[in-house]
Amino acid sequence: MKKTAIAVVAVVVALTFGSISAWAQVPSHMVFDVGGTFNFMESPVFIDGSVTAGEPLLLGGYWNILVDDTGWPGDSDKQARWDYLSASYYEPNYDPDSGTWTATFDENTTASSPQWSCGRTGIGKMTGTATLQMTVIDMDADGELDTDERSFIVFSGTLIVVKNGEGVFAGYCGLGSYSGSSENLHPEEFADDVFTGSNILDIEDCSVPNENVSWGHVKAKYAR
Amino acid sequence: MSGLLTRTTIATMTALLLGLATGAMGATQTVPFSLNGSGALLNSPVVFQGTIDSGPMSPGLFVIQIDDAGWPLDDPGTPGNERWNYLLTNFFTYDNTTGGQHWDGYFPKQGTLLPPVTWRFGKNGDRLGGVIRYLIITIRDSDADGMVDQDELANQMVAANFQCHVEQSGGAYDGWCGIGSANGNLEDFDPNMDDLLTISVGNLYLRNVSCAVHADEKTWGALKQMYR
Repeated sequence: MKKTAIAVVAVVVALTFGSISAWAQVPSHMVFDVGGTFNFMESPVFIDGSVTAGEPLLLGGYWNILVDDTGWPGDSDKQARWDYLSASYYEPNYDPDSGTWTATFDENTTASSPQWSCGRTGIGKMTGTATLQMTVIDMDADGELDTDERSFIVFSGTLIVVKNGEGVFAGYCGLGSYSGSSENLHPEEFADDVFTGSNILDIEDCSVPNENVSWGHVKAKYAR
Repeated sequence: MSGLLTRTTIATMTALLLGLATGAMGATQTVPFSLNGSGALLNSPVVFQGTIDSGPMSPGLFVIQIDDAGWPLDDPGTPGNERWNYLLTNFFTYDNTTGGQHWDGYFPKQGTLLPPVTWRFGKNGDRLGGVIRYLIITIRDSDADGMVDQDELANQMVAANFQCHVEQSGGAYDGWCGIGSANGNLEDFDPNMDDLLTISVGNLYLRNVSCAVHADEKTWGALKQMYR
């Protein structure tokens, strides 16, 4: 009986550590799709997404960007908030030749850099900063950002992965980029935008100082 | 997922078009793409070019050009690189977030339309083109020293929002315009060689109604008519 119990425990331990070991294979290049919702008319501005396809380590996990809306009107008066957003971010960035507005959200235009995070429960988490740009079409070419023109947006941006990850991503840092589009069936009601997009990440184990990594490479080169 | 996205996108775009096109029936289409090419900000002119590797424009060729009028060239007789210093000063800003130090560069300059960044796709007789606003280039300051080191240029990230101008569309895309977005990376392993540009994912969302003609074209067209 005792031997059986020990054997069962041994198998469980082996499986547990075996699976952790398998999960610990963090790829240096990750590609995945994301999807979710956001609403810039609500505070805080939280782009709330999940990983819908691609990288197995992250599949089913979350993908978020928090945009700092310090200084914006609160979300109780959505029209006032939209007017501010339009006047501050879109209207100064009109391109009459293209008939588009492109708003940018980054360390230059918001009180602090947008904060990005991605991960999966039980696996790990990565965090960092982001740039975000969103383009809207002036469909009737009148230079006015009409309500229905907010129905469709394309977006893209870049990401920095800070070395404060958790789980299998602990000690990792790097950078990435993403792009996609969003749709809003009821912009007149300031409804949520539904977005889909794609993301790439290039990360490395930064828990070892660069000098050591470089020296290790040099030694390996000349040890042949 | 992309099938669902495409169907939803087409439904939304069609609804938008029907609402705005003053009665004209419009169509939409999504053109996915990925790109592989080379070029460098340090070259004059600044031209990134290569192949379109996926989507209906594949196998085709792409060109992305940044107008570098007024940018200095490097003086090989001096230790620094005047052109790079000019770019870093005028187009990049440093984000000093602890542990995430990096530079973000915007082309055109953030909040402006200059210098223009133009793009062209071509495959046989099919053509698409327009401007990019913005082309964002992010460089990570991995040793957080505030200096751009060569190894930090080995992997830069890029993101771009595309504007597709109707007067540059041709062949199967004649009469189409729209917007798009894309992302990828830029690798600079050797300052004496071109950088490698990879756009991993891109999508153009095109329509064939409400395609206002580019302002310059309008002006030129009007001038031509006046002197006819």
